[in-house]
Amino acid sequence: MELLLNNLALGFETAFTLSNLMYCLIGCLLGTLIGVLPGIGPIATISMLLPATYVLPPVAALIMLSGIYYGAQYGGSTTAILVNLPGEASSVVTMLDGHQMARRGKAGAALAVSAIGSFIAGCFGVLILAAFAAPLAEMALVFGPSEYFSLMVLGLVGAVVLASGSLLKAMCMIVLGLMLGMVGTDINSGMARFSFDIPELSDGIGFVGIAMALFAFVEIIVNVDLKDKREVFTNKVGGLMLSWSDFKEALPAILRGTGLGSVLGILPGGGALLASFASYTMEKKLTRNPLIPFGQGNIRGVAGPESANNAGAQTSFIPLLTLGIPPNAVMALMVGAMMVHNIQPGPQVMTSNPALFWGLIVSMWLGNVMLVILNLPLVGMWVQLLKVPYRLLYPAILMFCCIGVYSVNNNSFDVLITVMFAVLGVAFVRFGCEAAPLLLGFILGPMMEENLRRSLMLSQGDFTVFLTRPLSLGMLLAAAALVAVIAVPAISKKRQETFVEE
Amino acid sequence: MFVLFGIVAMVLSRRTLDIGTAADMGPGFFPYYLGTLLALMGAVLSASALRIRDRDPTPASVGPFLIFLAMIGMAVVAQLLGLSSRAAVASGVLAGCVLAIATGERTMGLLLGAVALFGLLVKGLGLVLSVTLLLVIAAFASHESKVREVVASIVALSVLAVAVFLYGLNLQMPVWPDTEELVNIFTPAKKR
Repeated sequence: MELLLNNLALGFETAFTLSNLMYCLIGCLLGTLIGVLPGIGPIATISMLLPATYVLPPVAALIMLSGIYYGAQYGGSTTAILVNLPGEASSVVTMLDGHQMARRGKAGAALAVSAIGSFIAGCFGVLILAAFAAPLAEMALVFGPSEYFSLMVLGLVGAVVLASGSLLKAMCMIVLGLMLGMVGTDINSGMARFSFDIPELSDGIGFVGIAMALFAFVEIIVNVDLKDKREVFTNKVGGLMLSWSDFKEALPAILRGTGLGSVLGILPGGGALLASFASYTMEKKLTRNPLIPFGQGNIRGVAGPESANNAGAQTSFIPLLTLGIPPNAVMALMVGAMMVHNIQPGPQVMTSNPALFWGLIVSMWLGNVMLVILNLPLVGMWVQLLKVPYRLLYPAILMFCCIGVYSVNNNSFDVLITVMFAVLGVAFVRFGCEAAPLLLGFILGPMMEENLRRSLMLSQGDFTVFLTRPLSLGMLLAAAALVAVIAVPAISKKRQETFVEE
Repeated sequence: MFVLFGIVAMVLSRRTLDIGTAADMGPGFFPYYLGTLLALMGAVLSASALRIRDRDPTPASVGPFLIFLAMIGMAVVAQLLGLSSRAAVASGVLAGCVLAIATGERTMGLLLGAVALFGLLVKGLGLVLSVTLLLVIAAFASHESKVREVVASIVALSVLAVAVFLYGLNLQMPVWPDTEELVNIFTPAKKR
């Protein structure tokens, strides 16, 4: 306990410098901004800003990038409630009841409850992160290569099972991602693989370029084709105060959402998106005889998911910071960000770089405080932003992406590769394949290969090494169980129900 | 699609890389088995897609993938014709974008073509002119663009770009055209 306090003190010391506070604020502002704006998400934004963080110190860079992720969870709800568009994928369910509340003239209450719920959940998520990170990281230190390999298998399988869409397609995307991760020079032999004699390819495919192509560029292409149709509910936001009876009704949902979100955030494949869907389903099941039916403006339908998505956003940092395994695509980008700054993500971050680790955690809590302030009183300003039409927005995004990709290596070839991946990304959209698993696979590919190789080297080619070591066996069994579970028709039907909004 | 990628990876790793044994893996080991796995899963996927007849792949949905293949194909052809690998990829990508515009993928072709041109020309044209070019082409992609707005956004965004990236982040990039670099870009024969 004392140790924890000491660590937190170190964290405060790190986070409370003027520049770090400022980067935290910038991250939260940007996060809210892109959260409010439909058509651009945290993945696209973080990949866009990655090149820009090269010049920052690592702590500042990570503080800012994570601010974007959880900031987006706050911002997304504003759009969902007022415009009935998901500003962010994870606020799709907030639309259901949030917008109905706005129609009933209770937009203020809906906004307030989602901000308060997010805040409570955010604080709790950070606490869990602080409390569980150290023991988990200690456990991770006993992991050998075979454990790591199995853990990554579990992580990837989990990401597929818990994600939406076709299972088989997602599996294919992961393997494709793993293979793309193989491009470049082989670490052990120094041989160039799949580089087709192009010197740039022997360094591997740029991670920033892929992320930007598959998320930012594809989003732009898809969105430009859509007509701008937004009906903004700006007339009256109404009082932002929650009545006591509303608060009493929402509180249990907030707490349940927080708990559920925290758990789901840690799971592989989890994070904000899954948490909000699950929480909505749970609230619907648990609330008997609601005063206002769900889907027509029940306050619990807003409070639960909004708390859950923020809690999930915070706790999904746990596997990243302790094991070095990203549970979702945003965290995969964070791995990229850490590697850019020569930090090998994993359990050693905490011991070798305690200021960074605890500074990041404390900054998340500070960020949550900032976000409540940013979101509640300033909601009017964000609403005004919604009136900016997309035709003015996309050139700016496009430009930042272009300069970003180019500036990573000051190389035009990177831009060309990005264009090719963007074409592929559009093809994926048309085929109904999600790009997030591909990105996860791409990040994990080299790590997986290395661990597989090391463990087989140690066991002299004996594949049973993965089955004889208890921890590794357990994780593989869990992965197999997940696949089995999803294969059972009854459950897969249920899963579809959860993801298709009711 | 996945079958194709899988087989390509299998063939390439078989032919060019040493697979080795499990105990002493060669560089081709992991990619080879991944390729096998991908090809198998892709086969299952195509089989199930064929069984469910209601969602036949329409030309519209296959389009972007074909363009992707065309880009690679043209790059290979260009390389066989004696261009350096960079120039080959560049011409393949640009030709693919033109193809996209011609075959009804207007938005994608224009936007990505603009991006590719930006990447190729920024060193020679400098930031301001290449941003202008990028935004002008990109403006044609949307049917809602208005001349006045486009001009205004070009001015605003180039100022912003110079301020943020050159002064804010200290990136090394020319602001104005540099004739020497321009000449370099357009002499493809030079093998770098």
